[in-house]
Amino acid sequence: MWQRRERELEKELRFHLENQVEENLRAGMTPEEARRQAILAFGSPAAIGEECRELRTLHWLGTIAGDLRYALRSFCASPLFACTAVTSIALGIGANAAIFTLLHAALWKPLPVPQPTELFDAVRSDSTGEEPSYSWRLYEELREAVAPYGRLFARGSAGLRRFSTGGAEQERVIGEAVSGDYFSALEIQPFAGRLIDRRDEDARQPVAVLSHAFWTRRFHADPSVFGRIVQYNEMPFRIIGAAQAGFDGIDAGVPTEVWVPVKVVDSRFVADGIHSSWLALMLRTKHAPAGQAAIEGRFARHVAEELLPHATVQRYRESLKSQSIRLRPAASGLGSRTRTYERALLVVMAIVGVVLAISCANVANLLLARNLSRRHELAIRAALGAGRGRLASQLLTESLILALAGSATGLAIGEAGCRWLLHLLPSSRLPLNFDLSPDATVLTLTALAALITALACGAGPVLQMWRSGADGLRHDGKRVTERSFGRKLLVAGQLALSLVLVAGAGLFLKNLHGLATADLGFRPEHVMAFEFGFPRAASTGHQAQVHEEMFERLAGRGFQATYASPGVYEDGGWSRTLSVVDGKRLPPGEDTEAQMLAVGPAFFEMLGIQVLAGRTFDLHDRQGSALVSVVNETFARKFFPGISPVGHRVGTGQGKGSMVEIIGVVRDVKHMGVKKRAWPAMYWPALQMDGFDLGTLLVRARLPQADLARLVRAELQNVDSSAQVAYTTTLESAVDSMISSERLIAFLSTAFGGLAILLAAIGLYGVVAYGMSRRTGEIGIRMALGARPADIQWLALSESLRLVAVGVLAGVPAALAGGRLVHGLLFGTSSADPWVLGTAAVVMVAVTFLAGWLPAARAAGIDPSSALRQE
Amino acid sequence: MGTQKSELLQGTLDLLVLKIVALSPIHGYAIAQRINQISREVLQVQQGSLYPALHRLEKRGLLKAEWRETGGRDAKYYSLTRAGRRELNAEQANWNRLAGAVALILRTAE
Repeated sequence: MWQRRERELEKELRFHLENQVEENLRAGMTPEEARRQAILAFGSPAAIGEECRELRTLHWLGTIAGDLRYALRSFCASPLFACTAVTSIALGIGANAAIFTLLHAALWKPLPVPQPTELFDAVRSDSTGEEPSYSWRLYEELREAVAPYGRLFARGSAGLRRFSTGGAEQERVIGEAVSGDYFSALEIQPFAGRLIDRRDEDARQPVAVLSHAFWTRRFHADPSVFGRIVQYNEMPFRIIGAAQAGFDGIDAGVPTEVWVPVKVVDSRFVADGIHSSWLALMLRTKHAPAGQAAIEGRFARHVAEELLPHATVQRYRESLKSQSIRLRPAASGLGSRTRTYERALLVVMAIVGVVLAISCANVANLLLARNLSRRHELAIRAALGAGRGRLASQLLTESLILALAGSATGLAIGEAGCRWLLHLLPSSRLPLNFDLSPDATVLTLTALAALITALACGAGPVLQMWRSGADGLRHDGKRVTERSFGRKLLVAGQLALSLVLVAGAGLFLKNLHGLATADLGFRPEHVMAFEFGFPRAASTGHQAQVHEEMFERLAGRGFQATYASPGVYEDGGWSRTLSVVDGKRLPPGEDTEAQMLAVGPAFFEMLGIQVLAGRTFDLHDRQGSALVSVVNETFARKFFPGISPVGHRVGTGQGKGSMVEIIGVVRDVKHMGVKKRAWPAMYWPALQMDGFDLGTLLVRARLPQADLARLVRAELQNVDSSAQVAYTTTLESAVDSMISSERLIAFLSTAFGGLAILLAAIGLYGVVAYGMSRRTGEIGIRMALGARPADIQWLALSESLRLVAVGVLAGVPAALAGGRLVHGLLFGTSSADPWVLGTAAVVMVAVTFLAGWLPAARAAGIDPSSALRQE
Repeated sequence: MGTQKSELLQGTLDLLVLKIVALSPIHGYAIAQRINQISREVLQVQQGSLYPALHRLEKRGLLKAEWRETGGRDAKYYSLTRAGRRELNAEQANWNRLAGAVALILRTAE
């Protein structure tokens, strides 16, 4: 259809021209003259055709199709240029898509509930930034107080629990313990059956709701399952329904499969009253300020009347007094597992934004250089009747094609990159599990980014064309003495931005190095930790017996093994307040808190914890013998300043009020993580503790991790076939996971800093090489006049060095400003570290020197006679 | 050829084209010739505006076009549609009124 119309138009105009020629011939002109006059009278057929075309309906479709065809043809003619540009954009967009997808999936994607913006996370926090949980008592009080303004619901423990339908087929599913208001406040509809409500909180027969995904996977969406009794966490629950499809809880990355009433599963904690706090609270309200006020008022009363009278520990009292509750918008849920990475990811998001800017500058530079050599062509097109608007749309179409191709590639890179990013996060008890397929938001934003990229890359060439217009023809099209000021500015900007990224990467690397090599006080190498799971019915005495037997069996096989309180390497066990030292009662109100850790024999030797005084535990320190303990340096300094605590007695006022003799002092160990300070700590001999749940078996072996795990599993099977290995990790990876956020940001900032510097080097190379090729004639003359190759080399190098100098001068203040922004992410590393900044500048200069060297060497190799002949 | 040539008034080209086409189906080249001849070479039609005008009128449904053979070549012949004839009558009346008014002013103000 287009083609027929084009043919007809052309035929009509030709008919006219031929008639004119014939008439001129009749008037007696020579054939050449007749043709010339006819064309003169007619004007440009191309321009007339263009005007006629514009009259057509949807003529712009044809225009765009033409522009597209033209752009594709010209890209095919210079594939290297097209590949470089597309790759450049793909890397920039891909990096952005990856980070954004992760941030979106982990933190920003709204929950699939009606009006998610009405949801708030009630965050209780004190002046030190700690965020305590809520007790059931407190929840009930707050729920009542805030009832006029909204619905408050609680979510208790969540984790992997055993699930079975009574048969042998067991699996561990992710469960969420919730209050009766959970579903009604979230406004979740049942997919089938019904959901948990207030009545189920105290029902004699506990009920459970399945997620749609789990119901489909495990029961093939069979509705007859409703009403059946299943075993969850070794308790019977009646399945009453499945939640609406697509809803999997309020915590991103941890898709819930089963919901149960918190009052039933955590009845032990509920019975503790105000003494057990484990709940997270969320509020749905249209009146957040009023709700906040109601909650605050009730909370203040609760603290004053219930909590403070029971609080004896000074630190706890101070924390209570400074506590407040604020409503944090939680349209995307709690994000309890992912919030740790939010700041690191936001910084990385900013970094990849800068990388995209640099790659845009690169493509703009490439397009500018390309269009300079196409100036002649553009001028001819303008002279033939192409309006400036048409040329502009042509140029923008080209950059749009590049941006779209780059973005499509980038999206693919982004999705792969995002999956790979998840592998950088540490493994944990509950593996993070996100839906990373690009959704509408990600696609829209990527399309937007592509559009902005196209405009940013295309603006320069369009401006350049607009200024020169048809003037290009007046020059001979080759020796245009254009000023490449804009292009140089772009390159200097790229260099400055790269310096910022490289300096940032340096800071994060230094930070990570500091944390990774920090002295933890123990040696985690080759130590694996095993946690055993027992059936609910197993007594603590039986559990202790199993642990002891395991220890003996492993020792018998020649392994170094011991055990310790659960979480000894993750959160440092539990804490108590000392009340008596050497027979004197400590004044109440003083901060006398100490960490308590139960450890097995040979614990210190195995972990390489240095003994400073006295002795450590042996097999004789067991039940029935005198109570002993080992303390750390900080403990010794605090309670026994200036003297050795060995031989002194302390008491906690707990239990039988018995006094404990300190038999040794060991070095401080950062049990709570490398970023935390060391606490006063007391170690207890596990064998002496009455039926204490030892929790963790530690084994040091040079075996591969999998082999050791298999061996331990087999031994456990022999000792107690009902017990399971619930969790394994190596101490190294546990220690590593404490700095996972730092590792993530250091790794990514280094990778993107490298990418940025590479892009900037390419940009610099392009500008200098282009400038030199334009000056071939000048160089020829200089050499003919006696310039040595070294002079020419310097001529070219000084060009790049000038650009680098400008880049560094602009980059240093920007890097300092950027450093201040990430100050909060650094531990013991100054954000204005002169060494880091200096190294970054040196790296920049070195890389750009290399990039500038190539064109300089080529310029120096120019043969003056051939250069002059070219003129 | 000593006659002075006048630029066509904006918008009058359409009227002239309609009038010429109304006589009989005719191709673009002949329209230009016809305007030139009838106006005794006072009005010179620029091809750069004639063809866009023809296409514009065709698109508005005032002209219809068909391909006919003439002198061994295909030519695009334009003829008036019913709407085109109505438009011509209206525009012609309009023009006469306007021209009369302008003439009146020129006469009276002398």
